[in-house]
Amino acid sequence: MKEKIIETYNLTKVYQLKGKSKVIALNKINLSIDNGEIFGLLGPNGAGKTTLISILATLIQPTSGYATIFGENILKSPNKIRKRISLMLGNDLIYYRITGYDNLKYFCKLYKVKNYNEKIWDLAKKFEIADWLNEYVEYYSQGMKLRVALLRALLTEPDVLFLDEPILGLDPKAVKYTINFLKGLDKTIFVTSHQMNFIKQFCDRIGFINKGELIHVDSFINFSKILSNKIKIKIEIKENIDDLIKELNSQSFIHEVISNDDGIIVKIKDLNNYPMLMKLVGNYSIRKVQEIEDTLEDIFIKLAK
Amino acid sequence: MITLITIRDKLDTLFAVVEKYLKLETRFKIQFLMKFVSPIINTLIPFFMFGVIFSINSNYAIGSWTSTNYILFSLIAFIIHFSRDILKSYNLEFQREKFWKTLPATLIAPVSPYFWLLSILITQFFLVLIPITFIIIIIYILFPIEIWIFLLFLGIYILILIIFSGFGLIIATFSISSENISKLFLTIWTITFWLSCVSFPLEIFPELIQFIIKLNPFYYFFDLLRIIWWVGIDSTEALIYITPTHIIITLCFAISMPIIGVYLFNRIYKKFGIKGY
Repeated sequence: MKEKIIETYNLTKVYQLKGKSKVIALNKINLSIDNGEIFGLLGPNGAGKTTLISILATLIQPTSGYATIFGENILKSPNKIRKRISLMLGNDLIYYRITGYDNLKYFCKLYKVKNYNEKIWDLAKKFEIADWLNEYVEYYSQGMKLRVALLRALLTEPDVLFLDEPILGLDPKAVKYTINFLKGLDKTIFVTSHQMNFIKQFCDRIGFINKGELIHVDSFINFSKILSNKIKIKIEIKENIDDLIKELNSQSFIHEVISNDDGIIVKIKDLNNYPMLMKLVGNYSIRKVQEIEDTLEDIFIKLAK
Repeated sequence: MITLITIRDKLDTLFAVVEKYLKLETRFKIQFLMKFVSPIINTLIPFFMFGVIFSINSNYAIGSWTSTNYILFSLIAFIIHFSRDILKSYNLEFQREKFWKTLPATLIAPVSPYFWLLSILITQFFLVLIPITFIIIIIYILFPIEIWIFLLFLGIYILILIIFSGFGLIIATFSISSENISKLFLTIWTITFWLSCVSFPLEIFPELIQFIIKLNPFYYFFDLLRIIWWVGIDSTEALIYITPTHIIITLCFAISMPIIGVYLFNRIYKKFGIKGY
């Protein structure tokens, strides 16, 4: 049985707003993450992702409940935890008015990283930022800032990495490289994002959070079952849209037909029904047919059901 | 147990933070050099004014300040003007880190927050070290004194730096929690500083203003610093001007200001939800 590295017990965070109103950012979150596991937390903006990652990284304290990391309580032994973790909060936590290299050197010194110079340049080359490292961060593009922030988190050689929106602004090539690199580290990683594709490719297990509630936690394979029990096809049509909708609704293999501004979304029960659908729509002047994935909102609706 | 290695480790950490702040402070060279313009102007204007007054009548005296010792008065004012930015340093760095969103990185790094506070102070001291050393050497050449009095002078100067940093920390903690109050404190500080007789002798002001100035603790700190050097030149005359009030107020503030500052900082630190270190 794998060792549990992160465990939360009824973790709750309530923010007191001006006046007397309160916002429950996290509501009794119970979660456990194994050693070496990559856990992804998916949720829309304001779901409580950053609050959860900030509490686990000992940055803020919960209103009630607690969490343990390496068996140490975040409330009682934050110092022991801080030496072994690293936090990346998107583009934040780096100084824009000094160079990328000075940023990395500073944090290496704080975390007492040995041979930091070699390590900085080695990682910078791997993440294709070496040429820019002696420039001021304020001149970097969004993606470059993100890479420096990621390097900062990696260089301190943590046992657990907490990454909040680590690929926001990265191009697909850089995303692919980052995923492969992080997977190769063989470390426990807790990552939050609202980009489902990234989480799907990167994580061993996924949790869905919305309005402070952890709706569902499962392996990606089990999630796939939820996601793929219906196939969604988007059809863009030039004319006779109403006729097509009528005809599609009359077919038994069609599960649901949704019309929107872009065209029609058809849900079919089985991939075997795909040729039948194509034959049917072939009689119309079709602009584009493509299979589409469930959006984050679709998944929340499904999970809520 | 404290060993040489742990001391070296802690010094490494401290100087890593100092190095970062020095780089941030000196990033824009002209902007950095401009910081020295204001103390120079603030010192030179009264210096020339006294020069004119004393050139008309060399026997004229403004309180204890005469045509011979007003140069000492002005040069020590120079030191105080250069050092006063130390008071604003915490406020400046806290504000910057707050708005740059870099504060969490420092707060969750395995470094004591007291190291952080100390490093800000050391950085500011480094920045003014060269001009202050230069002025002290000039004073020493013009008005040589015995070494023990010189050390006493340095001791009083360090107490003033401690008061500045303690008061600065109080203002800075408000800059995180309540910027309104922080601005109020900064305004009070500006008024207090100009009513501390740093550039002009007390006797030059009307009686009512003199009464207000005597309620200002900063007047006693700066006055004590000047008189201590003067003791080395003319002890019989100068000792008349040192009162127990000077010593008691300076010592009380040197002890209480950092304690209050650290207490408030700890409260604010906890407000962040941070615990430990």
